Amino acid sequence: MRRATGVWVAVLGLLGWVAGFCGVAAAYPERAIEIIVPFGVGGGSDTAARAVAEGMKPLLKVPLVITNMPGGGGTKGMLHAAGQPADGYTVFAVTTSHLIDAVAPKTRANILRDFDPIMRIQWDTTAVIISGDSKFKTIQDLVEYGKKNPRFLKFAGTSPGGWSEIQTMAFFKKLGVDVTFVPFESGAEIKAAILGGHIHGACEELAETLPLVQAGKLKALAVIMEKRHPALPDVPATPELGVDYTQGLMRAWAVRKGTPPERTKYLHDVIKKALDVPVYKKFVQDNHLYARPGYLGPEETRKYWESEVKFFMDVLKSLGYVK
Amino acid sequence: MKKDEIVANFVIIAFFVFMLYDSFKLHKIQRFGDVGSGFWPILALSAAIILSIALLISNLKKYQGRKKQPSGEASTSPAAEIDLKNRRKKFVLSAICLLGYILIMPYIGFILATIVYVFAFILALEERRNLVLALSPFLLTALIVIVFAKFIGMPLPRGVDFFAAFSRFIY
Amino acid sequence: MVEHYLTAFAAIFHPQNLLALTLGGLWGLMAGALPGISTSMGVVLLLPFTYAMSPLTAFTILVAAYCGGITGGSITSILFGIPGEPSSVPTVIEGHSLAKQGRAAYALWVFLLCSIGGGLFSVFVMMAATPIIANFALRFGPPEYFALTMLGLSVVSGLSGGSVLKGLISCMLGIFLATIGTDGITGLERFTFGTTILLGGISFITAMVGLLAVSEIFIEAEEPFKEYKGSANYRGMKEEMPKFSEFKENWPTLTKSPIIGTIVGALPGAGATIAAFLAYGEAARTSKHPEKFGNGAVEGLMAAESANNASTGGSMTILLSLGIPGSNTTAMLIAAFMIHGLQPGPLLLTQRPDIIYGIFVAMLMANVFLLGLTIVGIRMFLQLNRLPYSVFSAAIMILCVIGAFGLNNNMDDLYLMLAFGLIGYYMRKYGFPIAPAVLALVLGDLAELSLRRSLLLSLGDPLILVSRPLSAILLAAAVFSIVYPLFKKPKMLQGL
Repeated sequence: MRRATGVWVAVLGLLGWVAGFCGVAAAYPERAIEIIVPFGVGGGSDTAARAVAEGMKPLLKVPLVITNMPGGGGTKGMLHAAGQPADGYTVFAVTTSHLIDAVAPKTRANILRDFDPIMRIQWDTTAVIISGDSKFKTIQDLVEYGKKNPRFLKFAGTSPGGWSEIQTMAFFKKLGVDVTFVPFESGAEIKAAILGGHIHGACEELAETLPLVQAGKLKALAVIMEKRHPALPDVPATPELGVDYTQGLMRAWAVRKGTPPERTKYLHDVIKKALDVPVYKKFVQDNHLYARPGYLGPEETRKYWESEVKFFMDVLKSLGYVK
Repeated sequence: MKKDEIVANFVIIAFFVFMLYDSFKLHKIQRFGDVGSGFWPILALSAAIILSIALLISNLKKYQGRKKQPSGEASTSPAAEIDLKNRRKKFVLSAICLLGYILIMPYIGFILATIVYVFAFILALEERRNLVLALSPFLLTALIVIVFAKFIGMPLPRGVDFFAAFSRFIY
Repeated sequence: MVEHYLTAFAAIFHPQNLLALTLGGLWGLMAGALPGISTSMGVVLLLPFTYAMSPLTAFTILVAAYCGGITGGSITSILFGIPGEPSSVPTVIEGHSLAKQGRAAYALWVFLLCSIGGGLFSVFVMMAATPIIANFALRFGPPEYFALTMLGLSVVSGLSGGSVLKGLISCMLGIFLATIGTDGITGLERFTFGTTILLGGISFITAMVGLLAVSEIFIEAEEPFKEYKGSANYRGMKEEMPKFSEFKENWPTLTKSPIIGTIVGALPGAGATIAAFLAYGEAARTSKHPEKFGNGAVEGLMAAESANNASTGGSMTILLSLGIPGSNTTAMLIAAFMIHGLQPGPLLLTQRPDIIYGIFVAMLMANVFLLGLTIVGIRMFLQLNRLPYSVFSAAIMILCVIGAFGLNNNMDDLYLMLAFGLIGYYMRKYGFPIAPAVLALVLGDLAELSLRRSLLLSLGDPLILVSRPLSAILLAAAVFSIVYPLFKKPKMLQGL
């Protein structure tokens, strides 16, 4: 009995070795590359990843498969990706929420420790949005009212303790205003709540709200970036308000730590090229992502991540989420 | 059977009490104006406990009432007992089959796990026709893999090492 | 406006668009009917093919797939008892019970006629009153959502079957289970006990597949061995055609449900699932035979089906007039708009009326086409009754596994599904009704979050719940619906 098991182990081991050997011998990539998007179908991360993948398809001989693994605010998908072999066939779509998770990881996986960035792909802009028929005309009106009535200004967001709350609270803190943050489930709910007058406003990614702003249903009071946004030339940027705050939502792609560097480089080069394919350029245009450069090389992305994690640590401490 | 129900009653109450104990830890974690993370679960669990105790009391009353009657309807015939045992056996077997299926799937991959599962499960359901036993695991697995893995491209588990290579050979 | 409709109709009868309606409808039906791929997944997979199409054809095929997905989910629900979409859970409870009584064909007829009817109703409302519905939907803030969920939960005693006490325990269990996972207000992980399995909570579909479908396979596995699946008293599609009088009897349900569906469908925080449950609960509350609910009540099936299909129109109103997606699937349509260089939003109606009216007409036609397509599809599905019984059970169980896995592509959900299967099994064994737990699981989360959001808005003052007219009316209705049966039918309480 024991001998039979031994033989089996040997046979399996041999087969595994042969398979592994074939894997090394064949040129990378020889089979489908899987992109793990840790959010649901139709969300911001998903559409962004699909746009990049669409740009990559003509440049690759192998198929690209997008797998959505939502759950736990993006951490379940990260845990899965961290458990895959580091062979460059599993790519993980990172967003700012994973950097926030790195401050106090919910799972065994940690974005800084377990992954190597391929590149930063997008850097989105947040706009401060209020209802179109609101009595506040400028950001100064809002700040003045907020300073007089602490907590009376109610701002909506999506993720409690996550990106949306950090962005809202950190921005208003710099302006010296104490607002109440009200978490909702989705951007759609937030927009409906603002339009219905149930809440004062929100700090939302620009592209999602722009059509309503252009129609006059919503008003943008400020954009959170270094300079004015080309799509909203009349709206002041944060430096004009005397505030040094330009954080934005980031999207990057990463592979597991320990992936052979030549494979990471291969992926990097293909994705870089894909960013110039018309399909992707149109996506950038439609989503108004052209205002600041999204691309950042692997080393710079890691540095950027590390500084972001430090920043989030401070904000979360001041909000009382982390001790 | 009534005794069974009272035991189940105690299990339910124990479960709710344990969760209520846990939910008190959440009390007072809140935003300004909010009732806190603990409020809603404590409310639901307290109501559940009160209701379950009411159910227990009414069951106990019924049980007492039945005990007083000396009629022998509580004792079951041997045939019914065998039937009950057989039923329980089939339920336990099908639950174990499903658990095994879920446990082995990540290691040996969806295809092999499904073939094994179908065979084991229909055996547990007392299927004894040789043709069905021999063919259905393969036909069913083939059909499911074609539709879900090949056609739709669902990322069903492929297994590890050798099994992953085998699964990749097919989808 | 009339000439816009005329041009749109002329455009839709172009052979290319008729083909798009057929293909999109079939694809949607398939995506909805197969567990594991949601309607929104079906639309996503279709999206890349629409790049090269003209905008109208692209939207025709997508809208047809959307309507088809909602319809298709119910076929699996009735025949196999697996909810393909959360919105078809009431259909599982009632429709599948009918199917078990050998009346699958009848249930399918009722579902088909009601869902197409509900879909058409909402399309007409959408055509006539898109801005009105959208503006009414905007009046729903957190307090109104809370009141709405209370109204939904108030019917729980009507869904309890025999014992109200057991029904209420089941309801509280559902409310508790809905709190597991990340707290939507403080972001805290609740009742996860440090595991990753429960991180992010219990997804609704997993719980439903376990409670309803897996538990039933366990129950059926206990039965003595049968050779074939088909039941003896099974009747075919022709004999089971429902009579007009059956619909006439239930006219209050049939008028109320599509209205509920259209309005609730337009609420971004609610959508098809809550619409279906509210209509289902309302039908149970006003029914003359409440004891039938949970055991094959045709009224319940009618209410749920007409409401969940009516929600498609409602959710399109808010998408087209404001560019706000009412559901995941309509969020995908936004991506489609962008691909074709259109900005969904208030300006679209004035800039590109041809597209908007084209979509209205495409939705109308999609519902008509689906009637034919579904009848063909149902005939195919009914052939499955000839399978060996054991193999059929195994196939259903595998479909459950795929359905639970495909949702998040995660193994953890399978363990949850098994756990819920066992819970469901014991609930059935000890006579606890499952419908209240399901209802509470759907509404509990929204109820808690909207209550706490309301309190955040009022800085802790609970009066916000009753000081706003709409929420006060809804809450009063909820209180009425709890208290009224106590006076009218004190017998109900004797089931304790």
